[in-house]
Amino acid sequence: MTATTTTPGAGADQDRSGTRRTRTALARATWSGRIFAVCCAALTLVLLALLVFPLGSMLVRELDTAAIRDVLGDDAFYEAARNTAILVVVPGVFAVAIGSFFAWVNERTDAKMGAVSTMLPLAPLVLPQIALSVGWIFLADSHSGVLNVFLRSVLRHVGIHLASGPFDVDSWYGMIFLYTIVLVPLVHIMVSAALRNLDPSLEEAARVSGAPVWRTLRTVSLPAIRPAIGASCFLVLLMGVAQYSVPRTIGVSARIDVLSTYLVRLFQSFPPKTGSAVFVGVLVLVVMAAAWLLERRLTRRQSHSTIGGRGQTPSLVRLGPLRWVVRVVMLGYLAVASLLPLVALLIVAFLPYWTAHPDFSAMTLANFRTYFADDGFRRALTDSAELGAVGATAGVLIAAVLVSFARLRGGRAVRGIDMVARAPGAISHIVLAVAFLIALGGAPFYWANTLRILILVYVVMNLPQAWVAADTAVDQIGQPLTEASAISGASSLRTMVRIHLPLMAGGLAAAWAMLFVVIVGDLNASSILAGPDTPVVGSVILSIFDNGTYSQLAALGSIIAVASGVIVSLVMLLTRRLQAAASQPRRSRARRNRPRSAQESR
Amino acid sequence: MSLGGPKTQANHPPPDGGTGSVDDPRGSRATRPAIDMRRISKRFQRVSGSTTVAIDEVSLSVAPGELVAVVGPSGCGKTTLLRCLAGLERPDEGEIHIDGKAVFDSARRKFTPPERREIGMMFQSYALWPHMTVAQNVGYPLRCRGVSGRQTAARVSAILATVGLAGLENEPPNRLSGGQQQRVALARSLVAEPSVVLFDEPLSNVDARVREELRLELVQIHTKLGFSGLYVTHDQEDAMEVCDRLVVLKGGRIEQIGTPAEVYRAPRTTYVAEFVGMVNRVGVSAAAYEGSSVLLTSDLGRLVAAEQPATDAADPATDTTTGAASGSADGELTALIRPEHVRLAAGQAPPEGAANSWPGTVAFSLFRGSWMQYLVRIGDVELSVLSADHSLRPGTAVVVSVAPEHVMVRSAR
Repeated sequence: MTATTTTPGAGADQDRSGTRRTRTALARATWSGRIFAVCCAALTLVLLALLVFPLGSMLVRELDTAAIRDVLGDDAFYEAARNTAILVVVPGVFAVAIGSFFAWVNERTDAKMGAVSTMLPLAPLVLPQIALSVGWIFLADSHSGVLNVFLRSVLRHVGIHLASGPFDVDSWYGMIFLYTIVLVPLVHIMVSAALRNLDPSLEEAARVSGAPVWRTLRTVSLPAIRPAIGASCFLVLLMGVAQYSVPRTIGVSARIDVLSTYLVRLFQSFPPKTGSAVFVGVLVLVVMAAAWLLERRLTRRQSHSTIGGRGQTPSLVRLGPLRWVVRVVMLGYLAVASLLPLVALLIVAFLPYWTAHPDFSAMTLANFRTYFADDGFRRALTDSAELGAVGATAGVLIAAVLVSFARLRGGRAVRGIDMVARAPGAISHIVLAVAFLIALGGAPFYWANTLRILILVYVVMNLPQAWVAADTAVDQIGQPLTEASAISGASSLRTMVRIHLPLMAGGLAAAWAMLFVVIVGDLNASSILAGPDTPVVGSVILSIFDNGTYSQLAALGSIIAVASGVIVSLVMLLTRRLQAAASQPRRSRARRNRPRSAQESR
Repeated sequence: MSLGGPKTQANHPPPDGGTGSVDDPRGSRATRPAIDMRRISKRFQRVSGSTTVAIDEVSLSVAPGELVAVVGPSGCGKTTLLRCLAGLERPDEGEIHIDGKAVFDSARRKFTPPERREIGMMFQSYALWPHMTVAQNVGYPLRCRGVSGRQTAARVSAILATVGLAGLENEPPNRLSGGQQQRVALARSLVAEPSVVLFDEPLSNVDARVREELRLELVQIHTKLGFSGLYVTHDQEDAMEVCDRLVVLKGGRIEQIGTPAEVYRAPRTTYVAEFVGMVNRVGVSAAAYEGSSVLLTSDLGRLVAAEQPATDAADPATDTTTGAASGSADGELTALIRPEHVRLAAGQAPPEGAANSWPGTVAFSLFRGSWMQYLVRIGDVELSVLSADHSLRPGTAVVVSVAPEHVMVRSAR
């Protein structure tokens, strides 16, 4: 029986040709669907190989008992491990609390502030972490820090004379403060996404039932978004351990060694203690894997609690006069996390040298001129921009295609792809870079000192972040929107291209911007993999930090920060415009598919 | 209560799948069914690990041009049944044929994905893509089937005119009212002229007035286009007005199949009677045959029920009344009386010797437009009554009577 026979009025000839066309189109759809599936499976296998092969060859080639004994007998290792634990737990707790609070304030209360709310989690991400750290050195160095100089002059007026301080960034407090600043946006973004997905009527029902704001938050909102909070805790742990910019800059002068710096030192010592570095990497890997399993266990039971995606506007909680306090806190965060360090960088960048009492009449462009006159630096800048653009595009595309495929396919395939895509997240970035160098640097590849190896590491390293962003974006698309496409006769490839990707565009653009900034400002892979023929911004920064003047460092930091900011703003602006043209802010009328096991089987 | 006989027949049609076409309203007896589901089962795993049966060996066929409603309370498996038919859910066992083509066969491990089933479906949530215009939404199934751009535009305009949305082609769907969005969803499900269209509670998201309108339009469009369809709803009015036949589901099994009139007039079980329309239940303690009627000892006293004639439809599922009454003496029976079948007359006492007549008092009255609904108390029993007589006030003494042919005797469960 054909699709058209029941239609009165259609001519018989037209019917027949229409049917044939439908047949071939649908057959083609099946084939394109199959090819799509094969491609996705192949892509997943390639990603898996990019993990297994380098890590495997690293373990096989470098790990031996002598190296293990070396590490276990080294007091510096235990100190680094202890310091890392402190710097993950303390700032981690702060970051989860502050990030969740900011997310709730901006999603659910009248303290949110339009564009500022949108920028709040993004601005600190746009500023490369190395620029943030250096900026804070200029602000809070105990002798010459701009903030300290200013505060001391204020205090002198009230009769208090200080020779240094009151702040000192080269300290435990400074490190904890900067770690916290860096980690807050990660939590903020994840929790915000979860709150946006959470049907506001759940909270409204609690309010109507007589629960005050705090009780609603405690008994309804927080339990419902527990998976997101769990995931952000894991991310905080991961990024805390992997953190390299802050310990490499501030930790050095504060004499606080952490595992990431310890690892790089092992690797870069002469002769390189690669075996010991690999063993430390394996230990970190084991801890991460354990934490990951724990996180999955804790959040799986909750997997069905966030239903929604109806796109209703929640009724906002009125904070009253308190909302100004909250707003000042948020603006304060924005200032310390991006504005103040950026201003400090810019000030120092225009000075011939950095002192406690700068002579502003001597301001100069010399620091910038040296860079742009230097071929090596120009090369580093273009290389990094290219790596950032290619890496971010590849990472986001791979994540988007695989996430979409996994959703369309369902079942066991999903879990497999999900595992592979998230796995690099459990591996310390430095370990990953080392593994790639060992596996691909020598025979038979000889990729050491090439951009190829850098781009591979960047993509693999940042895939989990892109994956999480793409996964969140696809979550926002109601299940019926996907099902309606299948019913219409669309192959999975077509559904991805026509339905998923356009509706994910906003989330993907944000992920692209984030990846771009992270890659351009990366120090981890750069410190291991960038060679003399492949200078990147990260390696230039490190060499200037070690050998150059502060003013040169500031100029470089300013260039990266401004360039990143401009590119990210352009991307966000463009997607916002595209989205505004294509759709209304109300994402979909479609309710997400109800959890089948819980509802239909009753 | 012997559901066994008729149910087995309803659930296991002869291999040629003929049950559906036998009472096909359009009389195309020679054609094979448009939808033929045979012994479909679907189990779900609960989070705790235990399994529940959502659909239990359901067989159902729909004749070409026929619109069949699947009704039942939430959780009865009706949505799962529809999703299995659409290919959005994969049944564990059974066979599904659409237009004679097997799209699912557990024995041969055959499963055709939804995009290859050439069906239309209207979702409860509309599921309109917010990034596409109305025309792009509606034209999507055509583009998927390889229809050219120009032809698509023409057919989209035609179908939009049919559903009364001409001129809205370039609007984004979110700018439309709920009723209009519903119409776009309808147009999209029909535009490729599928022979089978599925409806998943399509009218549940709009207000009562729009729903009335859409219901009427749906009937007209169905008459005009003549597609076959399965219509899942929990709203009995939708089901009765729009569809040719009703399927009542209970716990994943078919409780009764028949035309709306049959199911209403001769519900096979108490469950069906209560789900389709309002009904009064009167407890029965004993029953005995006397000629062509059944004498019941009930909470109302002596109650006479005429044995109801089997319905003239050939569908065996509805022919069950005698089966219910014959299980008499165990006190597990109940008498069912529709409110509109209860007569009220002013007066103190019923005439001597009149059957099924009792003195009662009006306890409560509710104005329902052209009808009044009364709650009448007879001893300890309360009966709900629909009456055209608007004059009775609470406290009025009335004589209550029911014709024996309107007393239905069913298993109490």
